[in-house]
Amino acid sequence: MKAVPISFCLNGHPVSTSIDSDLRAIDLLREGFGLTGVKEGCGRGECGACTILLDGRPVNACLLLAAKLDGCEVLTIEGLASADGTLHPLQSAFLEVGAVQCGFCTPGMILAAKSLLDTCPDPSEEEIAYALSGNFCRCTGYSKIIKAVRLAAQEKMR
Amino acid sequence: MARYITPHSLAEALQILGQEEHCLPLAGGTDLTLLVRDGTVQAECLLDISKLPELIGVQEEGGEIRIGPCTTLADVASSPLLPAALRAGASWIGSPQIRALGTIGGNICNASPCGDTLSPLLVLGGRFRLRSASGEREIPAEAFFLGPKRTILTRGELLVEISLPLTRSSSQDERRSAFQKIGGRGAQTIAQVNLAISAYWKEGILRQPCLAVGSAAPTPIRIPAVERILEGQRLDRELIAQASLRLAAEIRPICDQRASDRYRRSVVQALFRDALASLTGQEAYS
Repeated sequence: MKAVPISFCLNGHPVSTSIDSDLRAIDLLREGFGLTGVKEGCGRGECGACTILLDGRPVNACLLLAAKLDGCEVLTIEGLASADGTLHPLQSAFLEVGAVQCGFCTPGMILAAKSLLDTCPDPSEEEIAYALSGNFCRCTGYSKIIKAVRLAAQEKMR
Repeated sequence: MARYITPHSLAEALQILGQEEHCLPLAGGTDLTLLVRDGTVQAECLLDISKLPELIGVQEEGGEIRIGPCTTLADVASSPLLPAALRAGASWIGSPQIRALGTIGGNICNASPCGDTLSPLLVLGGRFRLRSASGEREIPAEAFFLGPKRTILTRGELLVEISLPLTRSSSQDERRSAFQKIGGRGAQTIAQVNLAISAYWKEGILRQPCLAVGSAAPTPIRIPAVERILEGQRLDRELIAQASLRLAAEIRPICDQRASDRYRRSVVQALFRDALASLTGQEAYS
């Protein structure tokens, strides 16, 4: 028997399930709900590939017990585009600037950047770098990622 | 597998903590999640206290600043009520993701010698309120830490409040503070050494300086010998040089995978000069 009943809002939809107390959020999201945009890199809260937004704040789904999702609002990369498929300005900007190479870090990068733009609509390069300091990219060298976040901010403000 | 309990009030949490044999309080879980899952830490019951309103928030009350232990590191880092050294310490821990979950109480109760809020709490006159179902005590931050990962918390006891004395009044200058840290990289790094200082600063002279260093002994430590050197003296190059050397001699660093003891004794002096510059508003002290 799974010991812990939880209910939360996942990408805009209410969900309920029962889980083991030591299950991680990343495992529930990937294996329970099929949301494989939540990537597992280091599994130790260092690389940020598994970043999701929990009540609007970026957190590492690999360090989060799934039981802690109870009562929260959870956003993964799968819930970012509009229902009709229109991309979020950050997604469009990442494509336009070429801020994606292998793509493994991209969902986490975009969600960390979304949390920044939601609280700071016109961030400086320094503010962007600070907000993304928990997300590692081993391909791009970061400059295009920062450029994409700047572009998305400008698009959003238009 | 551990049971997962989410208490509805602090009173209920304390009652459960008193009754259960192997019950672990869980705050943000950024450290504990890994330890529980790999079996390093064993618990029959996880008590998730992170959403108890009694344990969250920063308030000014009764001549002091009170911090709920489940206040996240992100909220500590951005609270305008808190002194510079504590905000800086919190803002240097981990990443935005870690700070959004991790709490100041977790950083304290983990009792790692390198915890970045600990040396600030030591120089800011921090006091911890510990409560159990049967009683309560309040102790100075310095008395809390016994060794790496060891504290004076007894079974059934929970850290329920962190308080700092208010240091400003109309007749008094404000106590200033500063924090410095060095790790293997700029962000998302564990301190090889961290250092916090607080003092009154007027006309080139430091009064009542408090200095503490982390990752340089089995617990974060105050350095009274250096505080005595600085007290009431004009802060010039000679005094800083004398104080830096004494600081390097006073700490008891270990040599581990993060840094050698020699490096720590050397770099602590640079951190000290940078912290002094930050506290006094100078560009740099060479």
